[in-house]
Amino acid sequence: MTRTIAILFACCVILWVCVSQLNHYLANLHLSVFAGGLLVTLPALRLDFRTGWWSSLLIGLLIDSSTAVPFGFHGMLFIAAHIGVFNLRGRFPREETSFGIIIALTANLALFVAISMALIHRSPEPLDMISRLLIDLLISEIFVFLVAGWFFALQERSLELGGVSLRREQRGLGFR
Amino acid sequence: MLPKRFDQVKPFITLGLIVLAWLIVPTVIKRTARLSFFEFQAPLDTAAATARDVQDFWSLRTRSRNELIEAGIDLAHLNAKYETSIQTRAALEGEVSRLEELLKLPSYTEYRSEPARVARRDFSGWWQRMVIRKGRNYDIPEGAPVIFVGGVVGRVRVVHAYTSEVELISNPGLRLAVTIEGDTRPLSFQGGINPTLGPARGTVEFVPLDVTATPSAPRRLITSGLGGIFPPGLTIGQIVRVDPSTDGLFKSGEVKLDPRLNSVSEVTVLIPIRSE
Repeated sequence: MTRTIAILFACCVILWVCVSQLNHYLANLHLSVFAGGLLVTLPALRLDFRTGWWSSLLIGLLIDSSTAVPFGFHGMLFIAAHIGVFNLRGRFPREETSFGIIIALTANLALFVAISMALIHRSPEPLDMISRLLIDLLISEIFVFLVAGWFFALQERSLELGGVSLRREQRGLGFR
Repeated sequence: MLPKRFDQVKPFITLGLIVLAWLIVPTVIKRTARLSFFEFQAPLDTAAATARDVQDFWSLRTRSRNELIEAGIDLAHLNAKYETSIQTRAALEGEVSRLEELLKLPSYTEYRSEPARVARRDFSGWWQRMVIRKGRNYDIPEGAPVIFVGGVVGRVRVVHAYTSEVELISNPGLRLAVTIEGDTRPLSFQGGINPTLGPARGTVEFVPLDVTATPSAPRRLITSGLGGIFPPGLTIGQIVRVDPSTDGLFKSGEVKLDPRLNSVSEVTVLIPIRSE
């Protein structure tokens, strides 16, 4: 389990660094991309409960460490998203990439709305923030849609290279 | 049926227990974990910033010699101008010291300037912050004011080993004691309106009723020096509109911040010099 969590965490760090650099360049335009939903999707859809929530918690805490929110804020939200997706996954074709993209978009939307609801009170004029948040949400969803397929493939291939087979896990044969 | 139902809600009970456990984790552990996670990813920010510097260096190498000579001439002109400013400033500082001594006034806090490059900007709708490439290794203190060519950038929020996090004046929730240039009455500034594709804005409260400002005749907003963090006289932005507040006792207004704040890549941290 530790190796699986480490591989997933490393993949999430790669995506998070890419998103951070993208946001650095988009700062000129006052635009921002959020891809939290994508970070929790594959572990919630394809892995066992405990591995998934450890992975979600760790990447959430990494994001918390460099943002202006109480430590654990993203961690708890990511675990909640993981639990929500994990609870529903049995009813859908969870191995399909297209379904994974839909879940990533939905989870990203839910997390974005939850964070906005929790932090909007900080703004002196919350109504003025809504248009900004809607544009940020739109470009975030476009970004997630574009990179989700690549990111799922990166995670799956990295796990295979690390000796973890998702196909065996789905058949109930364990990871290796 | 009861066990099946319990099985369905079990993950949510787990979530509740995790949140509860997180709430009772001691602050010391959370703070240590936060610092550890930050230091884990700090080299990634620094490496990316260094890669950008290398890119800039190689793109500058493509410039022709004539362009470099012209840039050198412009720099020489600027240096001559700054030399004059330095001499004027030294004379003015001497005059201020003489008057302070004569009138027995408390002297202003002195600051040491520490230039730093920006490693990463993070200007989301939820927070506005940046990471600079100097930290405890350059004795950057928490709460130190950060400025740039256009005025105030913000203040240092957290200091790490080799980097520091700066909270911008456009950050929602950041409040400052400010004043209008040429006036001594204190006002309250709050950042936090950051529209897409436009300069950041803020709000100003407790504006006296006799103050007016319009987009065609804006008023410069500067730091007041109250609160002890920012030295007085640093530019915050321009008040472009004031309207009577609901209580009728004061006005509240809109402040336009410097658009260069969006693309700032080099800042200066003002480090207070502690007198013996």
